[in-house]
Amino acid sequence: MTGPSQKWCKMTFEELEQKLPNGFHDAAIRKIQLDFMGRSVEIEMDILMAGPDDPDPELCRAGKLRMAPIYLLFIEPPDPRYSFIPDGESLKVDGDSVKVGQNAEVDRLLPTLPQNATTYRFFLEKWNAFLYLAGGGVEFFWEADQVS
Amino acid sequence: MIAVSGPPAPQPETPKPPSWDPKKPLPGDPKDLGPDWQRDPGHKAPNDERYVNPNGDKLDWHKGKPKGTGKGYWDEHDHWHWNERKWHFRPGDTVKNVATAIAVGVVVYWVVSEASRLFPPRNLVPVP
Repeated sequence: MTGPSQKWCKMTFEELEQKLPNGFHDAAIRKIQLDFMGRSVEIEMDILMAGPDDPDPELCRAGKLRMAPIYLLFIEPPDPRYSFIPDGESLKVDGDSVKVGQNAEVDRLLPTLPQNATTYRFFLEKWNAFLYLAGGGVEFFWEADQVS
Repeated sequence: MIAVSGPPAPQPETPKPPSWDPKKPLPGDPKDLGPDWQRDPGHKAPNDERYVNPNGDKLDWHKGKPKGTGKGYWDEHDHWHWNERKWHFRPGDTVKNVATAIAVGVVVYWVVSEASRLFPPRNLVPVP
């Protein structure tokens, strides 16, 4: 397992996914901090570390994703059929690459982004909606705490 | 001869096939959940299918991707999630048993962790 001090710098979301034991599958978002002046966003997450045959198959670890410079961040409106009001728990998510044809409005935005943009989206399970991100690159830090 | 037809004889009701419930092992395919469970076509998860029953219970089915093509361990294994919980259930698992085992495990862990503080050097370790 990677030590808490290890940091992965300047990657695309897909490159970062490859370094995580489960990618962003069944991860959770605890906090999103958007810095307009610093042109960055930090997302505190719980990352699923284990597999089905491990002693604790639900083992998670806290990490922080930083994207800079930020080009775009938006969340689709939640589905009114879902209990989207925050209840004090982290938001379960699933990671997914952005592809043309998923969302017509996003398709119109993609050509306007800088050429080096890395794009990604997280499906927010309790909202039944996606969080979209685009930026120049992503970094990831492991935090000291183990979350289970 | 004229056939006289009376009121139609009552037909025996066809019994409804049983549906999955949390006391039963989870099936290996959503089609085996039974008639109470319907797919929610409005659930937009890119990698999962959601099934709901008339009680409002939810089951999310993740079909494991072929080995080497998924995003890691769990993405390549079939599993379920029950009522939006993070816990993973494999086909054959029983939700009630696994949920109880997890709850018991957490309580035992907490009791051992706190009780061990009676041994003074243990308190040099601040967490957990």
